[in-house]
Amino acid sequence: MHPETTQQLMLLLIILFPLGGAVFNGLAGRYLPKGLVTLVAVGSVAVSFVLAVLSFIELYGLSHDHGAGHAALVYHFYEWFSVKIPGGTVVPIDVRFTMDSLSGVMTLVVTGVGGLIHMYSVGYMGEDEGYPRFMSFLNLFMASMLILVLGSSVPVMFIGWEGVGLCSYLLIGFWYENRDYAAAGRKAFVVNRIGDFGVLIGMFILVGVAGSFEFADINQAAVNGQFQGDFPIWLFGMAPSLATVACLFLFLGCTGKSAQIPLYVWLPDAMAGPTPVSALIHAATMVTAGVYLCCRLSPLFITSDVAMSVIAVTGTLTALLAASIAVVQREMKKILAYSTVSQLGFMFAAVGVGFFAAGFFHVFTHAFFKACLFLGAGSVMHAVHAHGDADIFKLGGMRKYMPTTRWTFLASCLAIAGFPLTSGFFSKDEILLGAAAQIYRGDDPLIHGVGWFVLIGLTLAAVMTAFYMFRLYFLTFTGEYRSADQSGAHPYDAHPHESPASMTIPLMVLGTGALVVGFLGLPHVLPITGTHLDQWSWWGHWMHSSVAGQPVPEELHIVNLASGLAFGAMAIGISAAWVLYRNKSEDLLQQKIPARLYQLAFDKWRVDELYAATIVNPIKKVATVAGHADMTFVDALMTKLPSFNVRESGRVLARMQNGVVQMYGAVMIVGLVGVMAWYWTPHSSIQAEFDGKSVALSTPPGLGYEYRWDANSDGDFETEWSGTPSTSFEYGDDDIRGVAVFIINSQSGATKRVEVGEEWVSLPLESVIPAEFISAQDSGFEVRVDGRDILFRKPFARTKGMGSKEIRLPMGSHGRLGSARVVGRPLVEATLEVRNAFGNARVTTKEIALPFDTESPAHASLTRPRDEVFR
Amino acid sequence: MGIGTYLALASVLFGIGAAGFLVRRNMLIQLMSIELMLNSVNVVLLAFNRAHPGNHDGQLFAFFVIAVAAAELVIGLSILIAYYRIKKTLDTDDATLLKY
Amino acid sequence: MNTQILTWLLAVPAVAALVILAFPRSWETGIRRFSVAAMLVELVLSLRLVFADYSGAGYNFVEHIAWVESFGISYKLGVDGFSLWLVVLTTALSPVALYASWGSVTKSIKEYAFSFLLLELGMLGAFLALDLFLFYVFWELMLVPMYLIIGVWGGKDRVYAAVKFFIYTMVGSLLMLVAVLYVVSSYEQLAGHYTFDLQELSNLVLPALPQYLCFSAFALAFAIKVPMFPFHTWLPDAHVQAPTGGSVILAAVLLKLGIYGFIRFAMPLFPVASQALGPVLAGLGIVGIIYGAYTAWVQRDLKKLIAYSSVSHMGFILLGLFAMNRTGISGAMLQMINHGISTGALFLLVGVIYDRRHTRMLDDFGGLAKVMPRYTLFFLIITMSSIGLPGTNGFIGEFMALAGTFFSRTPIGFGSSWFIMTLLATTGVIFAAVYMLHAVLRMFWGKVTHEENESLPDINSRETLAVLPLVVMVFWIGLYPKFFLDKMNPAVDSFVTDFTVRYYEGRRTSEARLVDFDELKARLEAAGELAMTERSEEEARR
Repeated sequence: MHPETTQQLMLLLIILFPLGGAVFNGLAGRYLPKGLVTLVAVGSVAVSFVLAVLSFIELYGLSHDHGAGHAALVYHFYEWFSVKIPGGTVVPIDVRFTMDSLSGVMTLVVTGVGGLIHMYSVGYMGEDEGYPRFMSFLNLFMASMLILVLGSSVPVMFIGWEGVGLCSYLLIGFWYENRDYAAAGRKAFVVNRIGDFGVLIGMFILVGVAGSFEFADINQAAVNGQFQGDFPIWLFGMAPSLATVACLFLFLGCTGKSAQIPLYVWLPDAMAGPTPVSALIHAATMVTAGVYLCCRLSPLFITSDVAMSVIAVTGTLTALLAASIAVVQREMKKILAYSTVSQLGFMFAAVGVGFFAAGFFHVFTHAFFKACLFLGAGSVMHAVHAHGDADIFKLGGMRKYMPTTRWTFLASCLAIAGFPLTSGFFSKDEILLGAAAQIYRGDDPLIHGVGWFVLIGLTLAAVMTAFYMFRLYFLTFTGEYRSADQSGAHPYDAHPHESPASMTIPLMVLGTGALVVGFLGLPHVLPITGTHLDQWSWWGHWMHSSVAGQPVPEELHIVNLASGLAFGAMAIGISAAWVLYRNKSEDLLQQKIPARLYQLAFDKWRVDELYAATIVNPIKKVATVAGHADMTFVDALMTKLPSFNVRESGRVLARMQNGVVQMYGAVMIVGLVGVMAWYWTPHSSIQAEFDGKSVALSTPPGLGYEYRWDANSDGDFETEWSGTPSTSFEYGDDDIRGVAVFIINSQSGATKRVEVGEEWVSLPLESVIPAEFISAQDSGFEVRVDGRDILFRKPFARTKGMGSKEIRLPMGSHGRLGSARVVGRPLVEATLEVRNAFGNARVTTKEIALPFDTESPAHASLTRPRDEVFR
Repeated sequence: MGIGTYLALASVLFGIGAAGFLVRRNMLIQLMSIELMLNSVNVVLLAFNRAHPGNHDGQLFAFFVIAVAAAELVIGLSILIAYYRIKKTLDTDDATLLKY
Repeated sequence: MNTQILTWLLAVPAVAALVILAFPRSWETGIRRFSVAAMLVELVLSLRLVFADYSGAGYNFVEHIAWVESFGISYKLGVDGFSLWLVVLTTALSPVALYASWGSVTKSIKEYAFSFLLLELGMLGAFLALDLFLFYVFWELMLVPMYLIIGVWGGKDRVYAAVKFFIYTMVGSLLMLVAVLYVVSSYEQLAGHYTFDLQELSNLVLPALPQYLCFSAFALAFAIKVPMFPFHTWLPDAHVQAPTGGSVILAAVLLKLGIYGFIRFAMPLFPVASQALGPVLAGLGIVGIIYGAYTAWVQRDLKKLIAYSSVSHMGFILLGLFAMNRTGISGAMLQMINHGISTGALFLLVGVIYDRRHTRMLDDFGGLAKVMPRYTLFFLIITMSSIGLPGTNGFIGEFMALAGTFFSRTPIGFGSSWFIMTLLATTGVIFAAVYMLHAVLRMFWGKVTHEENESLPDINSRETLAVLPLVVMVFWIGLYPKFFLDKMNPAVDSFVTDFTVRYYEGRRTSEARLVDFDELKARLEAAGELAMTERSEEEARR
């Protein structure tokens, strides 16, 4: 997957020219003559296109040297920043641009179609007072789109990805004085941001697994199977693969950018922007970015059946849903917008069935015919002075007034409907072939089911496509012009005219393209004999190295099935439109289907309302509540409550300062009585110090105290009453009252005491030693007293040939268990009686753990050397 | 008579003084109660001085206490008079300007 | 190398403030020019710091003079990769804020300039101090001028806001003082002498319980300053009431001191506690991200909206910080600079419109794009920076903070909840677009709905001069962040290593101990035990 690369500065210049144009026109355009603005704006894109062509030629030459598509041009600009991923690897993020077979084609489309649309805009937007701003935004869009296409790593692509989103926002809201338009721009940006969220997360997974942000490295990692591991978080009781999760997050980004279910809602609203914007951004280039991303990462996507199925089903559903809406819309751009959503669905369906090259081929052909359709619509609107959008039921008969627009529009309609030998025919055919091939591939029920679903769904969508496109064509261009009579509610200009050359030339170029570019995908040999797409068309061959794909079945009947369905769908759709709409001015369909169904489809299945009710409004409600709660509840809790507490407690305490001297005196006397009560009885505590076998006992001295000691608590006081607060004593065997084992953290000295007897008791190591410092073998010790020794054992330890699993430790000696020290100590008890000047006495006792055995352990023998026993 | 008797007398005197100080509202009476408590202390000092005949510290301290009591009375009475001139009363219940 | 440079940095504002006091009150132009000039000199001085070598782990330009020897208090200053850019941010934004203020502040010019210079002194001192006592002195010193700036030159409810700001911040820092004294006295019991020197104190290893208590005290002080949800309610009040210059400094620099305090003091001194409580703070950071965004969305006062957006942004910073890896901490550090630039610029821009209309309510605007195109351009650029569009500075910081969170599955990180935390935090990216574009829509798009707005003058050259450097920085950091990150990364790397060592040492201990930290680190490095982190990461991946 790593192609041979050649450094090429032109790649940077391709981007910098439009960027420079954008900055120039954006900052200075307002103060410059229109001609100069045009020159800079169109000129920069033209130069960019020329450079793109030159680069492509070089790439083409290189691929001949290295085998088709196995070469790429790169330009390494500089290191942007880097992240450190687990394992300590520092992953650099380079601003680097790559042109390989995939991005090369896309660059040509972007600069070529983009250049034509720039040219068109000169005519279309020339009179607008915001013309320099418009051209600046368009140029900025070109630069962003080229960064998106040429970026060789995910983050760099992401610059373009969000950059085109920004331009889309700015251009949809270009006529910002209409607040609805501006709101549509905001909607587009926010919905796209939801998708960007997915791309960000997907990106993190990618770099976490592949250790690189570069597309080539990620694809290589996917080919090496690095993405086959289970995702660390399980969903619904099953572990998806890393590839599935990464792909689904990335696909979320694609649904945003490429207007798929569930995030397609912004695209129809985006038609608020000027028509060239709709053509360039919302039809030909930006919205296909999602498909481009899937193709870019096709070796990764193809490893996850689940993600692929989700994509295929989503694409098909989108194609159907959008087509069903387009069938009943009344406005040109709205129909075209839903048509775009639907065609994008086709592309994703192709991607989902593993025919990436076919999907991308549809991107390519779609760029021509859909741009041409939008520009044609713009031309019509320009002619009748329609603002915003044009109601096709108020148009009609346009073929008389604007023949160029009509013929190019017709050509594009044929192409999108899939009329044989037009570009759409080839691309749509391949998509259906992909779906058919999936049915025959393998015997996984998921794959089969998805294949059937896609095939049937797309065929239905294709019928509707042909139908609504020709409905649009017939109502607009055939029959009589319904606004010629200026009476009634017909707002459009009574005298339409053909558009100027700057607008018709792009139309003609694109219309021609719509007819002929499909031949790039013409199979070399018929019938198909090979096993891969690349072996049967120039397109597939060219795309082979940068795009993965499923093999094509060899059976001829599959191919025939797909072609038959495509042709049939086209034929049915066009015929139905012919019958219902040719030279008509009424919506006959409306009379033939139930009114409520028609209305529902006309209201776009009320999806916007559904989102508003289920997502937007609840979030807004939460936000409103949060906004109110912050200054009331949170502030009250964190600020007002403490200050209230201080104030009120101060108020209560202040009451006590009542100024009555007797009150103060009374309090003083109460205090005095308290102090006297404390001194009424003596207080003492016992401390022991060890010096050899002798134990020094002492207590803190007190004024007027007298002491007497009973060091072994046998009831006989060894000393008489005296003023010295200390004594010393040697304990014997008879004084011992029990045995305690101490576990000591050898680092810190933290100690735990366990009293032991003749029975086994367990030893709580973990209460002293942090869990991570206890090995599995250390836990589970038990201990008991055996004569003068302490016995330790592991109750469940496997003895492994050792004679005894018990460890013997003499009283008072230290041993080691893991990282803990243990010691057994005899317990004795000392008693002290203290008397004060009032004659009151108090008895204090204290348990003392002796750090030595009371007698020399003559009979205690160590069974083994200590080191061996205690590890 | 043992020292206990003297101490008992002193305790009783002190108790009367303390109770008087706390219970009575007239500042003059309160000053007199304070004198009573100081005198009970003097009794204790003198009693202990008698118990330790070789040492005259107790008597010395009793003189100190008397001197201090005299000084305190001088200041206390002058405050009292000044206060009476302003408020026309010696009731402590009315002298609560220092409260919160 | 001129080793006195940090003292000069502190001396210039201090001396300038005293000189200002000697100016006659009527000499307003002189005061204005002199104060800004002094700050510009300061900026030039601080640029000297940038050209030092930050490839090592230690401090540069260290100055160490004994101050109160019997208590081990010293005047110790130093600068490293963490403080470098914050110092430069301070010196760069102070003149901008003061310069921008001269359009709107007309009463008590002299005192205003004096307060601002004092404020700069306090902020720089806090960033440069390496002695806990010195830090505390500067930390409290900052409060007074800010209190005055809000309370004297602020809006209608300025006194309430100023008192709230002062008391809120003071409560936290007093608890911090108690913790500082505890640490110092623990040190004294073991070492036999007092010290407030951060580097010496870092040899002290405290057991878990005191660490929790002290860290909580420090964290409260810093969390209030940040401000972290739910300790943020002073911020909207303070911002709304503060004059433009005060808001700029408050948002751009003062808030950063909270995070800086975490990274410089709280985390190295109490590693066990910050490890255990870090996820809690990061979780509150996430709450802050989402909650701040929600509340920002429904605000009708533009300044409040930006104030709440700060809460949201600071959440990202907290999150990156407690991800406890290089990517996250570097991202947090960079995001601090970014937030300073973009929010500072936003407050400047709000000041521009406030000076013209004397209102900040979104309802009072609409259609400004038509009237003030250049202003709109600036506002849009800063908006994009604020919502983290790639190519602007905001993206780099957010990306790194989120990536840090995502990769934070080390023993000293969030472990298995990393994915959920990243998911939640990343939704903040969506909401940022929602609330900022909401504000843009209400202010700039649509028709001009208020007559007063029809003839508003566009942003003038003085205001442009104030905003333009920030716009340049937006793109500089956005397009070439490496320049900034390269100076931070060594400090961050060594911070992470030191933290690991301190964490394990603290985890092992149950009573206060003194260790020779450098020796310990060298020993562990030699024994290869520091690779423990990497190993566990490997295990986590499998």
